[in-house]
Amino acid sequence: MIKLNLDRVMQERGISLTELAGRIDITLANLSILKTNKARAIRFTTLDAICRALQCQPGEILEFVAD
Amino acid sequence: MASVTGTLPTIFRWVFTVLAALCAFAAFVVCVAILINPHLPAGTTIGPAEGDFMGQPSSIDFHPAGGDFNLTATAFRGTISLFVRQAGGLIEVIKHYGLPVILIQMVFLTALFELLRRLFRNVGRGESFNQGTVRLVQILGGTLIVFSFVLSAVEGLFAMAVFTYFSQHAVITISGAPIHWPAGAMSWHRHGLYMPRGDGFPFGSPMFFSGLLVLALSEVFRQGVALKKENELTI
Repeated sequence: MIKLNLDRVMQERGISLTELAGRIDITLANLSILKTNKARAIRFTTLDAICRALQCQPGEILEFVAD
Repeated sequence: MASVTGTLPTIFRWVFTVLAALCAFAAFVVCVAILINPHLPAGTTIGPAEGDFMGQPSSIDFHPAGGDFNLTATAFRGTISLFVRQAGGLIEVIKHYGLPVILIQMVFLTALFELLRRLFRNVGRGESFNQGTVRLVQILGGTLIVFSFVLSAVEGLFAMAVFTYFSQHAVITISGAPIHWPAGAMSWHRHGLYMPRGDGFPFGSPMFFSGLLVLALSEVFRQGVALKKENELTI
């Protein structure tokens, strides 16, 4: 399965969930779904906005974990 | 976000609420009639009343005769006439077989309108694609199919009782030639099973096919729910 390491990257950048939500124009609820790995899919536009806001590569956020 | 629901679901919800209430009331009235079991007062006379049948003059006459009643109906200026002796018994047959048929129909319609009311309530709330709506559509389809069988059976029974009575008590006269009613609603005919309308087979009824269509639509709704869930979890 694909796992999102958003919380780790956010911690490294020292950015809170509310602040990130404000920067990428996404609701706190949706960002929470991403952070808790409950999302089924992620749009390229969302990924682009997160990478831009956190100044990172998609590979730093996404990780493949064998089931 | 702009509202996705219009006024139509609200109108339909109210229409179905009123219709469900009316049908429930009608079912109650029929129940009372069955329990009271009213009888025609002795000496009741109806007609002779003149009317119009397929654009031609017709008449009906219901009068007392020998402690019972006789019924005479004519059509096409008297070319075709129907005479039923002991017609009081016909009314009893209609009462004992017809009223339960009407009761079942009313109960069915009440259930149908109640399901439609709930369905349009969900649609009005913008909850067209959720598990509850799918369940309602499935129940609606199932109800239509079950009642198509039930109604065909009871209507067939009613038709059989009336036709049997007619075969024993009615004479049709066409241009002066008397013809006796065919025996029974369901009887073995020379060319196979002879069955008039109300034959107990639901497969030709629109209700049966409507039920199948609604069940097919419920599957569309179920897939819609799955797509909606998928979409909701796409960020």
